[in-house]
Amino acid sequence: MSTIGNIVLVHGGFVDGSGWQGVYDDLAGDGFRVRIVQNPTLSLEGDVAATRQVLDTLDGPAVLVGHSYGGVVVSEAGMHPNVAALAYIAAFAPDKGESVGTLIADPAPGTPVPPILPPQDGFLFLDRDRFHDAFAADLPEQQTAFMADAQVPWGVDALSGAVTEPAWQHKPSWYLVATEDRMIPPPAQRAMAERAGSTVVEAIGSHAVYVSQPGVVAGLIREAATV
Amino acid sequence: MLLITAMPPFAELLRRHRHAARLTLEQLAELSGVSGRTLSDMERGRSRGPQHRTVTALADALALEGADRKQLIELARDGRLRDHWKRPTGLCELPRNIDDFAGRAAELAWTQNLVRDEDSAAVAAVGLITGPAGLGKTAFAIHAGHTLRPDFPDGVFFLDLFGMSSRPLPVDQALAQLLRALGVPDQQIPPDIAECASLYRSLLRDRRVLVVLDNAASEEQIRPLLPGGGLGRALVTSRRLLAGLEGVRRLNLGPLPLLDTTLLLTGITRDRGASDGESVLTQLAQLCGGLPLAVRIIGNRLVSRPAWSAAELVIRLADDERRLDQLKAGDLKIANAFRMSYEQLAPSARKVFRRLALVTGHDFDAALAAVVGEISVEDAWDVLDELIDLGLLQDSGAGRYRFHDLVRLFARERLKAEDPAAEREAIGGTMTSWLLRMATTAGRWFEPAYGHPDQPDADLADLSSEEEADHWLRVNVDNWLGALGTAASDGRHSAVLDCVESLDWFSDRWMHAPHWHEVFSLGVEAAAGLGDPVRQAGQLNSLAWVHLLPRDDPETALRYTTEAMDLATRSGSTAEVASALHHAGGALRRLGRLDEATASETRAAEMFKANGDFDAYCHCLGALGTCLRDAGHHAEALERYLDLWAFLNDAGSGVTPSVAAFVRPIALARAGECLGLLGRRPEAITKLVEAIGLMEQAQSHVPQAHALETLGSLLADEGRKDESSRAYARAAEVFEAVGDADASRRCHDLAAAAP
Repeated sequence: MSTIGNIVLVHGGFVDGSGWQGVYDDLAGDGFRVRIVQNPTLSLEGDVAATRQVLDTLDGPAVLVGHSYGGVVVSEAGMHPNVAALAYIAAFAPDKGESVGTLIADPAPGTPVPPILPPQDGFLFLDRDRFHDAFAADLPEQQTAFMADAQVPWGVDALSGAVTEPAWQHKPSWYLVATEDRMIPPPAQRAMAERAGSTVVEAIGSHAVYVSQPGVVAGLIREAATV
Repeated sequence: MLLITAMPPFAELLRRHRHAARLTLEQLAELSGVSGRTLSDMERGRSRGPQHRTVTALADALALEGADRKQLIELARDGRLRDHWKRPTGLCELPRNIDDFAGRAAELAWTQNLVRDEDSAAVAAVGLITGPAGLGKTAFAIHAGHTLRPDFPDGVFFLDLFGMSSRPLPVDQALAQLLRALGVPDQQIPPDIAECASLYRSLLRDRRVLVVLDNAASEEQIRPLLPGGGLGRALVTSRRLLAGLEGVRRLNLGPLPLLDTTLLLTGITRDRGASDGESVLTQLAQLCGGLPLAVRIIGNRLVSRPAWSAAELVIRLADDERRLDQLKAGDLKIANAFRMSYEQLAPSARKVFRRLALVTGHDFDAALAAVVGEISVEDAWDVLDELIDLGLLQDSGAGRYRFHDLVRLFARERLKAEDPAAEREAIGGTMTSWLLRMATTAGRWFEPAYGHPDQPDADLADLSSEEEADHWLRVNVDNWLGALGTAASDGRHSAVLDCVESLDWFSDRWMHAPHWHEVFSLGVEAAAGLGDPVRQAGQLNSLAWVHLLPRDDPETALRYTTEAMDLATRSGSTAEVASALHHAGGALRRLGRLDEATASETRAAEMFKANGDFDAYCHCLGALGTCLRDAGHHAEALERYLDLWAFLNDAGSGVTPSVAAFVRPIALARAGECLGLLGRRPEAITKLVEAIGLMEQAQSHVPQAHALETLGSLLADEGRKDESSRAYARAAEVFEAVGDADASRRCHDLAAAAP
C-alpha cells in the first residue's frame, strides 16, 4: 500500500481558501504536502488555470479536492497528469457539457432553494440574513456572521462554465455527502456521486462541512490518498 | 419462562448481614459509599457479580471479618463467573445498551431511514459507520441496534470482528457464529466457506433480522457477512472506508458536538457526590475534543475518585495540551485522558496495566493478569477492578477483561517507555510458558494416559474438573494459540509438541473449532525440529483427522496420511503406520474408493490387534463393516459386525470399558441393518430393538436416531404400520433433540404417512 503525498484543495463560491484551515492542519500534521488554490471564482476558465498552476509545481501525484463549485473546477482541471484521484466535498460533479447553471436549473419540488440574490453587475451574493441557515447551520453564529460579511462575489461566468472532459470518467473519485446541506440537496449529491462511480461517504453536516468537520473531510482525503 | 427463580446466594447473604447489622439500605449506602440503587439491585439478585472493590466496601461497612468476610467476597466472585458460564458464548447477543448514551440523533435518523427504505432492499441493505478510534462507533451501533429492535422481530445480532487486533476474526469463524445465532445446529454448518455464506444469505433474505458487525478489518472479511437483498439488514462499523465494498451506504461519524459532549459527561458523573458546576463540566467536555472515549475515561475518573475536583482536571488537561500541541489533536486528547487516570494508579497497578499489553488474545482473566503482573490472583482482582472503575479496562462478560484498542496502544507505549527491554522479554517469556503449561495441563484432562494431574505446578490456575479444563481451553484459545506461535518461533519445540500432543483428545470434543489445522501444523514443525519422525507422523495423522472430519476434505487428508505413513514406516512405528492406514481408509471411503479403503482398514486392524491396541482395533472393524456395506457386500459386512459384537462381549478382549459400551450397540445396529438389506427382516428388527435399548442407556443419541429410522422402515416393510409409525415418531424426536431439523422433519413426515 502506498500513499499519494500531495493534496490540492479548491474552494467553491462565496468563500475563499481560508476555510480549508482545519483540513490543512489535519493533513499537514500527518506529513502530507497540502496546497490551497485561491481561485478567483470569476470564470471556470480562470479557476481551472489557477488550479493547473498549482498542479504544475508538484513533484508527484496528488489528490485534487473540490468543495461545492470547486467540484466543477476539479472535474475540468483533474485531467492534469499530476492528479491521481479526485475528492468531492458536497460538490458539483458535472458531466460533459454541464455547468452549475444547468445542474441547478430544475430543482426537485420541495427542495430548499439557496437564498442567492439576483446578479449585480455580473456577480452573485448570498442573502446575509439567511447565510447561517443555508450555508453553515452547524457553525457558531458569530463565525457565520463574519463569513456572510466577508463573501467573495461569485461571477456568473463561473456559474455557466461547462465542463469539457470530466476527469471523474478517467480517475478514481471519492465523494462526501453532507446530509444537512441546504445549498446542494443531498439527493442531488448522491445522484452525482453515483453517476461518477465514487466511493461515497455521508456525514451529518451542513454545506460548510469542510469547516465544521475538518477531521471527517481529512479522513476521506486520506483514504483517497491511499492506493 | 420461569417467573420465580431462586435468589442467588450472594443476594441472600448480603441481606442477612445487613439485617444483622440493623442497617437500612440507605444507611448501608451511606456507610459504604455504594449507591442505594446498586445495593438494591444486588439484594434483589439483579447484579449477581458486583466488582471486588464494591464488595470490599460493603464488607468494611458491615464490619465483616474472617470467614464471613471471605464468604461474601467469594460468593461475589462466583457470581461474576456464573454469569459468564450461563451466557452461551457465540450466540451473538447485542450488548447491553449504554444508560447514559447522549447525542447522535441525526445519525440515528440516518440509520432508521436506511433500514426502513423499502427501495433499498436490493442494494443498500448495509450501513457502514466509519471514523477514527474513540468516536464511539461501537457504542453508537449498539445504541442503534436497541433503538431499531422493533423493526426486526426476528432478532438483532452482534458480532465483534476484532478488525484492529493482530488476529481479526476469520471469516469461517464469523459465519459459524452467526449461523449458530440464527439457529443452525453445529453439525449442519457446512465445512466450506462459500456454502456457509450462501446458507447465511438465504436465512437473511427471509428474516427480518439486523446484524451489527462491529470493527470490520477488511473488505474480504466483511463481504461474506453482508446480506444480499431481501429482509435482513446489516450495520457495520470500521475505522476504514472499505472502499472496495459495493452497494453499502457509509456514514462518517464526526466528533460529538459540545452540547452533547457536556450532556454525556453530566450523565456519567450523575452519581458523583461532589457538584462541579456546569461551566467546569463544559470546559472539561471541550477539552475532550468531542471524543466519547475521552469523555468516558475522564468521567469515570471523577466518579471513582469523588474527592478530586473537576476544576483541577481542567487545568491539568489544558496544560498538557499546550505542552504537546504539536501532536495530532485527536490522539493527543485521548492520550491525555488516559494519562490522567494512569498517573493516579499505585505504581504496582500501573505495572500490571502496562504489562497486560503483552497479552495477545482478545481478553484475559485475573489468573493471567496475576502472571504478567507477578502478583497473587487476589491482588490481581483488586487491580483489575480499579482499572475497570477508571474505564481503562472493559468488563467482557463477568470474569474476563479487555482493552479498548486505543487503551492497549497507550499501555504498550507506556510499557516501552517505562520498562527495560530485558524485563519486557522476561515477562513475555513467563507468560508464554505459563499459558503453554496451562493448556497442556488442561488438555491432559482428556487424555486417557493422564487425566487429572496429581501435582500440577504450583503457579498454575486450579482446574478441578473436566468442565473447568474444557472451559479454560475454549475461552483462552487466543491466548494459548498466541503462546504456541511465540514458543514455536523461539524454537521451543519440546514445549510446543508436549502441548499440542496433550490436545489430541480434547480436539475431538471441540471438533468444529477453526484452529486445529494451525495447532497440529505447529506440532508437525516442532516434531521435525526435534528430529522425531514418530511424533511427527503422529501430528501428521492428527492433521489428516482435521481434514477428514471437521473439514470434510478427504483429498487433503490423504496427502497427510501418505506423509505420515512414509515417516512412520521409515522409523518403524507400527502404531503410527496403523493410524495412518485407518485415517487413509476413512478418506478413501469418502472418495468412493471402497476396495482400497477396505484393504487399508484391514491392514490397520491387523496391526492394531498385533500391537495390543484393542480400542483402535474395534474402530477399524466397524469402519471395515461400513466399507463393505457401502460396496454392497452385505453378507461380508454382517460378518464383520458380528465379529465385532462377539469381540466386544468377550470380557478378556482388552477393550477399554467405556469404548466397548459406546461401540457395542452401534455394532449391533449395523448388524441389524445388514440383515435387513439381506431380506432377513424379523432378525434385523430384533437386533435393532436391542441396539436401540442399549443406545438409550449409553445416551448415544445420533446413532440411536439413525437406528430408529432404519427400524421404522423395516417395520413398515413387514406391514407393522403402527409400530413403524411409532419408531419414526421417536426418531423425529431424537433428531430434533440433537438439532438435526431436516432429518427430524423427514421422520416426522414418514410417521404421519403410515395409515
